[in-house]
Amino acid sequence: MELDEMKKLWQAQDAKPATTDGEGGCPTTRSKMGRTRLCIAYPSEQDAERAASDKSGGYLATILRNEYTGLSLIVVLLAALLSLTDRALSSFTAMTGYIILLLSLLAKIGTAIYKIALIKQVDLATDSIADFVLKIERFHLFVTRERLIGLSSIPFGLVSLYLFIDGYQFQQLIDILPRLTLSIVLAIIISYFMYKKSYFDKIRAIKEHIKAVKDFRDSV
Amino acid sequence: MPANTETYTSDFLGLISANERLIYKVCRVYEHDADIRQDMFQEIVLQAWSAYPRYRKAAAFSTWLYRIALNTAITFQRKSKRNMVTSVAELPDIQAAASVDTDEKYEMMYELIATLPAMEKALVVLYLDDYPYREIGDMLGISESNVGTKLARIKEKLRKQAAMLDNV
Repeated sequence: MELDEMKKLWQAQDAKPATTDGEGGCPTTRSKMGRTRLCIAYPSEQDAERAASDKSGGYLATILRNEYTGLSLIVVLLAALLSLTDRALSSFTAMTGYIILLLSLLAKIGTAIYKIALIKQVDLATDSIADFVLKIERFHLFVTRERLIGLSSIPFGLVSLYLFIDGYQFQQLIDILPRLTLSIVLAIIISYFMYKKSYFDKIRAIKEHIKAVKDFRDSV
Repeated sequence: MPANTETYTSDFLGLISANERLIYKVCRVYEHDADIRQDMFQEIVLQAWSAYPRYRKAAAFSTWLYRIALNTAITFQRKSKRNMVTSVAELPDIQAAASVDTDEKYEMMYELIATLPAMEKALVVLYLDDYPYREIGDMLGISESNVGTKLARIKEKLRKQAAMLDNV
């Protein structure tokens, strides 16, 4: 079938009456995979009305709302941590745990603001399709990498929290330091490999899609 | 949103209703599964509704809606990768075009388009709806001359896929 023949068929669709339900009036054909419906399932007018009255705002608005919720939660955690600053001054180890937790929360705030900025740049009504897809995929790539790093760092964060709350004395810390370091490193490596499969596959797929869109846009 | 919300909403629904085939066609091109297609349709209307306050009547509503529909469909499709097809060999067995009726020809057309990557599908959809190269280029983010070059390559690719389909 040639593209020009397709064009005639495509435009002839506009002259065909629309079916108003999922199956009614929809012809089928036999195939290797069973019976295949041939026509488009036309949703009812109520479907359009329902979509228009939906207050969620759709996919992008949901992402943005989730990011704002996440950011609010981190700000609350930061406030809670700051209120415990006196405790951090009680010992060197507590201070170490406190600083690590503080830096982690500040980094989370930074990444949340960055993600919100990325999503706010997206305008699917004015962006070209290539630009839109590249922006969305870069956002997904960032989120996936952030999750991989975040999940792999959980053991490190837990130890920091423990140091901060329990407040080991310096001498005690020196005694357990080799074991502590080894367990953190092992935990990070194990969790990294646990998540590697799912997240790395996802990262690879996103990168391939970004490359395909860039190639499409830039190749002549 | 303007003061007369009811009129505003009914204006929007009227425009959607007048252009619903555009949305259905985009959904059909990007999604093989009828149930997921319904969700895709809802998402496109939802995105159009969210963007509607920013719609300036300088551009035709259909052009504006096309951009939203294609952007949403491509993003939506990435979430359901299982429906991505790269060759007609992966598609249900359909007889050669010469011996099938019109509905089967439609199905064959959609299945051939389904073998293309997401961006090429968008290009083909706009071409099939007779958009000028300049507008296609503007919507896709590529130059006008590049549209012609890519279409020539796509034609060749589809010709090969159609030949494969004839041999299945």
